[in-house]
Amino acid sequence: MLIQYNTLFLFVVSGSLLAGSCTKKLNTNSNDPNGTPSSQLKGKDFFAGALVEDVNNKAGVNLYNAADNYDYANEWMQYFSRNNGWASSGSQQEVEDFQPNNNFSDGIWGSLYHNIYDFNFVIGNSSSGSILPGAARVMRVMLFQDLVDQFGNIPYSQAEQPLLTLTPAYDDAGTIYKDLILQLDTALTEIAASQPSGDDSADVMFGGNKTLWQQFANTVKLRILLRQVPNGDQTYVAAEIAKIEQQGSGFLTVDALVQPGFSSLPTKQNPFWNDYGPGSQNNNSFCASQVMIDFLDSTGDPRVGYYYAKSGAGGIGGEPLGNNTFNVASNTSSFGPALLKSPAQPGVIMLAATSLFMQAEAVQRGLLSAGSAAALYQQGVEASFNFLGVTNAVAAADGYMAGTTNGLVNFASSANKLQTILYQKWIAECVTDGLEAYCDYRRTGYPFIAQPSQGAPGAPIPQRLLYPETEYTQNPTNVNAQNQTSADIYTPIFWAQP
Amino acid sequence: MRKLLLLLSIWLGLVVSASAQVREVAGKIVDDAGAPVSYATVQVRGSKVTSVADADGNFRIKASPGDFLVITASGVARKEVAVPVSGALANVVVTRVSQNLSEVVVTTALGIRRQARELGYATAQIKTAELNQAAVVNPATGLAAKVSGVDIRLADNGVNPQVKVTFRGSRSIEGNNEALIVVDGIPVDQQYLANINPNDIEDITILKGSNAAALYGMAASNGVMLITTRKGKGKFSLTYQNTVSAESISYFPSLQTEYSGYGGEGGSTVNPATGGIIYFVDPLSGTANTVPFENESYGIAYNSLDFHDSQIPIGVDQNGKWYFTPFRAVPNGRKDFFQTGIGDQNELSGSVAGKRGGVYFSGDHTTKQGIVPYDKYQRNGGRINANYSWGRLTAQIGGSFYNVSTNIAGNSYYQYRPVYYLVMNQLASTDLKSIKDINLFQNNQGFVNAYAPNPWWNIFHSRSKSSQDQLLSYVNLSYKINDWLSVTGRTGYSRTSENAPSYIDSITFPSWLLGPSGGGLWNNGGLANFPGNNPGVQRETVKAHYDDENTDVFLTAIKKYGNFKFNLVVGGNYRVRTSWGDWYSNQIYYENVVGANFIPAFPSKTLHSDGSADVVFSYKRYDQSAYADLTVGYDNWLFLHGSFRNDWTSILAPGNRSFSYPSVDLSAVLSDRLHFLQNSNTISFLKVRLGYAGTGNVSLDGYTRLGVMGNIGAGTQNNNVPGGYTYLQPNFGAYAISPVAAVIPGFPFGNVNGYAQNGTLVQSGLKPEKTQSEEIGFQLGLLKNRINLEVNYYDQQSTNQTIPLQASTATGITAYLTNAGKINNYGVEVDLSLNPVFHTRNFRFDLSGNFSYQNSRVVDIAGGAAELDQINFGQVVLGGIYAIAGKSYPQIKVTDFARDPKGRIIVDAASGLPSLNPNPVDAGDANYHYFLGLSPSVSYKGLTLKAVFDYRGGAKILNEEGNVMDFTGIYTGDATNRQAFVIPNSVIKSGNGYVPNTNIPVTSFAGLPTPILWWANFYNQAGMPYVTSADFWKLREVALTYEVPIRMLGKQEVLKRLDVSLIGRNLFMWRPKTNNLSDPEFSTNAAGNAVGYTTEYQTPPTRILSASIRATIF
Repeated sequence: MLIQYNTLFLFVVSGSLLAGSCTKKLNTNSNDPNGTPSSQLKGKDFFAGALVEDVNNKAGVNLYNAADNYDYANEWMQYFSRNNGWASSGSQQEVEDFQPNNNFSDGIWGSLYHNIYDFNFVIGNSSSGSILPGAARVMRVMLFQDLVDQFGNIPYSQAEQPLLTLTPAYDDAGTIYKDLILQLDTALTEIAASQPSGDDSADVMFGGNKTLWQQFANTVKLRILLRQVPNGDQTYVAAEIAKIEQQGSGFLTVDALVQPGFSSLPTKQNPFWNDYGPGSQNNNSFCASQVMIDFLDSTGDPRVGYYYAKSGAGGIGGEPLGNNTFNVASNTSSFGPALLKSPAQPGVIMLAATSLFMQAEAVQRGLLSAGSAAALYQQGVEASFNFLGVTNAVAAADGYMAGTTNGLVNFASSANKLQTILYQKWIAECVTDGLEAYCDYRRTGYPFIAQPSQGAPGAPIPQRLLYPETEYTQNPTNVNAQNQTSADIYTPIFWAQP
Repeated sequence: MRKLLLLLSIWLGLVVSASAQVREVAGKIVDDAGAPVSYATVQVRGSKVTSVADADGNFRIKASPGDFLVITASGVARKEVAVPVSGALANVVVTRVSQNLSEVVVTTALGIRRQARELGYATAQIKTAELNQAAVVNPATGLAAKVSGVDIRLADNGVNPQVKVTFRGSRSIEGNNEALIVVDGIPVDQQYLANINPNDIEDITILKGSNAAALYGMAASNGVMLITTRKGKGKFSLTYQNTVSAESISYFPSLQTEYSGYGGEGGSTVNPATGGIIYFVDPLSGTANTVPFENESYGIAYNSLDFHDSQIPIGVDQNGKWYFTPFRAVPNGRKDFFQTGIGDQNELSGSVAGKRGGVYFSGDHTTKQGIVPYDKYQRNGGRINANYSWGRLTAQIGGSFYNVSTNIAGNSYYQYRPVYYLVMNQLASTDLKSIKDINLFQNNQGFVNAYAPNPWWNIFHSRSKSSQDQLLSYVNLSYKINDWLSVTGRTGYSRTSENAPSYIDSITFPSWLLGPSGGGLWNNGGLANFPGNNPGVQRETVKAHYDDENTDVFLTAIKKYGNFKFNLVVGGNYRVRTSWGDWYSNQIYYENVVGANFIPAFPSKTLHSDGSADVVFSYKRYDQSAYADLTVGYDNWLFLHGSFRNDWTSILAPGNRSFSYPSVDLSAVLSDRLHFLQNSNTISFLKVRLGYAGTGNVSLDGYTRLGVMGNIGAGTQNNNVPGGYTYLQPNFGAYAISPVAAVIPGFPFGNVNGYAQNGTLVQSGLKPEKTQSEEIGFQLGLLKNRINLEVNYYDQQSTNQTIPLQASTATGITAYLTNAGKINNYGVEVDLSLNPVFHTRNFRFDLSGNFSYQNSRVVDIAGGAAELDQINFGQVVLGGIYAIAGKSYPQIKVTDFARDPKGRIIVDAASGLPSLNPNPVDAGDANYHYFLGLSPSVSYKGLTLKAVFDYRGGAKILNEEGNVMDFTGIYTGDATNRQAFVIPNSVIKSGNGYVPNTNIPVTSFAGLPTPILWWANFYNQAGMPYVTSADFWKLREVALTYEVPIRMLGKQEVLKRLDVSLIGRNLFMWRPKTNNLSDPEFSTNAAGNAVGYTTEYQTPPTRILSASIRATIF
């Protein structure tokens, strides 16, 4: 009997020992060796990445998904086209036929909202006194504006709060626009109150420079307000522009460029270079737009050789959008030396030229009192030449403007100065900011494009994108309340010309 | 072969005539309880002489003194008795092994052997003979259609397909629904099933429901498959089995052979061989011509004979000589790419036992070729089981080691397409066999078209290999403390390690293809740049291992007090699982190569100076538990059973780590108690039972997909398509409750970090899923158990589903992982066997059948929030696999054309073209509801014919390969509607209503001819046309076995038994006419819950014919 109780005793003791040793082991899954959860990170760990993501979204991702980025706007704005070596299909065909469907918008919508989500994290998780929350707020406003400009009414007040709702309701586009201005006011206050800090190293755009961020905030404000001219509440716009002038920091005069340290290492390249660089599929599959080449040639614009590379045959040639007729590869040009400077080139968030042309327009329209439209226009063209790395950029730009009486180049001889400003803005934004050019096009009708796509003969460029398929599957009640049909692709955004 | 000759010579050389002392012997067969055994077959060993006993067990047979009579019957162990010199035989006592409903002993949870009559829940047993009657390679495939409530689903008929085994449908929306596999007491991954020699299996017990499995806790919420391997038995004997099989394509999609290549190109190209110009569009008529390098077949008809060069150039050899393919369709030019795959299984096993112990050992060498040329599978391994007793202590020790290796064709250098896709993307004029010798050609491939490279290139230049070592070992010590109490300790360890290298060779196109600066044959406008010269040999290697240590210690007490019998088990379990994987690639480009994203931006990614990279994953999980199980029997007819288990797991937050599973059930053997049944001649056995159990499941574990060459590339288009071969590393849900932030590609730059938040947000305080299960059933034996019937009904409510609610992406996230939702899973299972249905003296016919109905209904998902009441958990190209509140789980939803309220397609008044409805449309249930299995068996003397028929019904399937086939215009359906036509039953919007469209045809625009526009740009965008009924009947197994009469071999003491079999597997399939694209049993995503679709990433269905010889010596 003794042995039996001994065995029982052993059983109980070993059982309790086992249980005791296990309790510790149960805590084993609190640290993941495979990565870091967000809860253990700070705003500064996200800010630089979020800026690069924005560059990435603008730059384009891949050939098979023209819809992951603003390729569509670049193609519609006649910046580049598919070369005819491959038959159009999928999203590329939707671009050319002016029929982007609901699926088309999934990537653009999802990546913009996720980008904002990361900027939100920066706002909520940065040390006090850091410049990052204010800067992130400016970026957030810019991204929301990009969403409104492409979709109209969007989730805004309930968006980006997954613990509040997983199915956010849609807000009126105009109301969102007004709130974005208020958000920028908050951002300006935050930036003004910030102090230099260790977070500044994460600011791979302005290096923690408060003035540049304030100027950028003002420029984004101007972008929002100018969008509503001439089709919005002009009194409101005028009053808000006056407030910008009062604020006093002025507008951006340098390019807003993101440079975290891009290099030639395969994984550390500038995203645009990575996607469109020499030897890439995109480089081989897209070419210059014949419409753009013709326009640049007609005005003697030296930038044609900067935007587009020499073709195999030695000249500069392209294709019209949606082309299915014959042109040989050896005659078409790919992306040029100014767009593909090096794998280490910085990413573009906003060009100085864009800021200057917007100011020129505001002055020309009498909305800004400071500065002269002619001077701002001239600086805008110079900034464009400068960004492209044209030799002796300022002199070359001045020579280009003075060398012709063409009213689309020479401001003095222009009969329609707004048209001149917007044409030059369109040229300056070639490939680097197709969405901005597309917005101006819908707002002002400039530039005039006789035949936007051979893929859709006679059809005008669409006015917006359709709500994404993911909204129909994951937020059906709210998106269906917008009553959108595929015909609404031609319904203008509230600020656009009807 | 040498062995075969030897056997043959013994046979031929030793045939001598039988002795003349034959007389008639009478006898009676009874079981160990003295009850007669009906309809047993009696055979004179080694001869053709057989007889069948009558209902009372009496038989007569002609035999000689010294002969041995072999007694076989269903449900009893094979028995041999010597024929006495004179007189009748005494009662021949045989041992019931199963099916005698009254005395069956079964293995239950923890490997404890119990009398079946005591159990208050459903179990099923299957023996090797039945499991392996068709000489399967993977034992799971041998289970199909043999047991009710069991669903076996295959990925495809590749050399080593994934197999999914589920019992009683699904209980979890996103979590694991697969049964737990336990081998000799040790839990193993389902993958292990593929690495087990079917002949090693003694029997399989299936614990279908929660009551049976509750003692296994959270690991077993989906039922348990207990596999017991063979133990040493009797005198020393050796058994050798060899099976040679031939596998060939059984069904291939029907392809059009009328039209040539054209895909909408403009312009022309110079034919360098002739100097002539090939116009893509006829400059005179403006109609489409043929385009030699196309993969789309929308060109002119082959029989129109007006193609300029009448020959299609396909390549240049090393000497500059041109090769052509005639401008005409080649019958089976694509199908004949596939071969007949030969398989060879060799199994040797030995067994011996003495008074104190025994040993069983086996070795297995199996090789198999695929239907894809050069695809290979090999399995080598062995098993040893030993047991020994020292007085009160019993020890069992054993284990197995297997190496399974595969070597299969990988994906193409361009777009990473699999072989099947490339075969299906060739023109009808392509004769794939004729361009097998790719070395002949300058670019090493014979360039049949510019978009879908020659599949032979994959065969020779792109390989995915895998070598998997699997070790399983266990020690089981049992000590009998006294006559009613014993203690058992069991520990098992399993390790699986994999090494899977793959490569895609570099390719450089010759100048005739590209031209110096454009202008080569395929380089009209940069076309051949599109596939791109491949920058170098692409290499990827996955190395991984998974370890599982599992220890149980429990006390067993069995004690009687008067009429009551108590059976108590108390114990604890401790389990540690770890997994480690290293995914290496020399392709680190972020997104530079089309579709290729070889190693994703994972936080643990390491870059090397040579431009390669590794990602290392590791996971570890601890679980512990305590359990108790008590059965109280009253007078051996009424049994009350209850169990309780508490689990603690490391993967949940501290507050939610501990949870429990109670179960209770009651059973009564009424035939032993009720007076009128005791004396019934009709009803020989009746038992009723009733049970309730609560179990749970931490639905966080899953797999981290480690991609192999290009599969992730394909995966970017569709995350759920496992192309070719992928490795799934178990993550055990180890860190699931706090998802890591993603690293933006390129970061960190110096000290600057760049993270993005995870797209999944997890609810704090996540709880396990709970399943409450009720089960009721009865077992009925009629006419002395000649007819056995078992019926079960179960109803399970699973709440607290761990669901990634799909958020609007405007929330910033894509999914919120939370406890929500409820599934109600219910069904009926019926098993019926008739042993025999009919018999004569030499002939008998047995039939068993089973039927199941099962349904898993999603009761709700997000507490009724309409916007969140459905989850897409399997994104596919044309839709998704969904859980939808109020519907069966899972549902197929697909894109469809916009339709009017009457279901008619709405077309545009000008173009006649339909548009897509932005809301995906419900297309039906993806899981089968009705299962019917029929296993007839006919024997005549030594000859036995067994068959298994399998019916599954009530499901739909989305065959996405149809989308690809319509895109390229190769499907027979695409050969119609080549002209402008009015879409049948279409309408045009008119005011607020719709008017029938009678005259607006689909007309071309944007330069696209009508057939391309219609099939490739409109028709194939809607998933609905590719959804068909998935119902089928299959003749799954046919096995004709002849037991060679050993007596014909004369007096020899070596060969004891010899069986020769001819076997067919998947011989015929009957499916609705509408489904002519695939085998509906297949599931691209076999390992996951998202069943219900197939793609071009699978190989076509096959049938297997084999011959098998099995010999037992000594």
